[in-house]
Amino acid sequence: MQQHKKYVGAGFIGAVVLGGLLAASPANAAEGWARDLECGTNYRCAMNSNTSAGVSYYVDGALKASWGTGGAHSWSGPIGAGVHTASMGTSGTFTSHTARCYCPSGTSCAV
Amino acid sequence: MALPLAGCTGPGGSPSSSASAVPDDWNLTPADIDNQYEEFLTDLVVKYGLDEPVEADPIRFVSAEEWAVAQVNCLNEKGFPANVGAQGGVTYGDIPAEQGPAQRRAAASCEAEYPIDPRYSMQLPRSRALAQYGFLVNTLAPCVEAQGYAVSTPPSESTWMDDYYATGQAWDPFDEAASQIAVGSDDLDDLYQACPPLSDDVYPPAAR
Repeated sequence: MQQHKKYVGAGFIGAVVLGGLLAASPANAAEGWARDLECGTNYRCAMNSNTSAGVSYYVDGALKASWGTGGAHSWSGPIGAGVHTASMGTSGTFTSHTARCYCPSGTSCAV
Repeated sequence: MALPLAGCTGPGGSPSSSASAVPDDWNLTPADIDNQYEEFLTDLVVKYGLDEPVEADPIRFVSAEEWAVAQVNCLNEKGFPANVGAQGGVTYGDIPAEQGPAQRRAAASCEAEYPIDPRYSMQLPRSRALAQYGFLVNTLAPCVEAQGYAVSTPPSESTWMDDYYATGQAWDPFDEAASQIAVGSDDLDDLYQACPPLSDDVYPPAAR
């Protein structure tokens, strides 16, 4: 079985869906999603999704990763302490989406 | 615009079309491809969080395998750092915050210039859906199990086909494995490398 790294779920400030930022177009299936995160020092940001078509992830408006096809995808990377907006946009529809701060295993993190 | 996609014929439509309307094999006409591309441009506005339509001249369709390399080369030419990621996608280098909107516009333009083969976002025709079921049961499920993930018993072929055409969602061992991976783990990268989830039997290479 896979070795899963310790996940520290602290750091949320709640799911804030920013409808005005990434509203799904009524004319097609494309969808957007965003949430605000509050991360402590040395935390990383992790984003996951499962979509029917290609998807892009961005943090504070800067792209972090994108894919041309749907399915399960993930990205994680460093993120500075403070409040950040994690966003996703897909050409299709989301089956699932998450964005979280986490403290990597073996790292000393401060909230 | 008439971007050619040789070797593909017949619109698959979106999932949940009635089974009787499903074609037997890929059958896209040039008009279908043009219509798909126009919808694709509209979808890119949402995918990249833009506030205006994407304007770009399409150069050629690319396969799923080619997609990331084409995007990275295009982005680098436009001056934005990017690399091919382990899951077949693009990862972006750090940029000053104020360049975010320009970066997203560049990425959308690159995707419009090198759009992915439209079949990947369409409903599978019947013969390809059957091939997909066989691929999932005989190739992908044993592979993800060998990587240490639990996979549920596959449904029968007819049940899988009914689920797929009714909802667009059906049993998928890769998705089951992905759901077992902790957020923040690199294990999904490894799973993509060990068990590629797309099959040439389902998406045969288009003549280029």
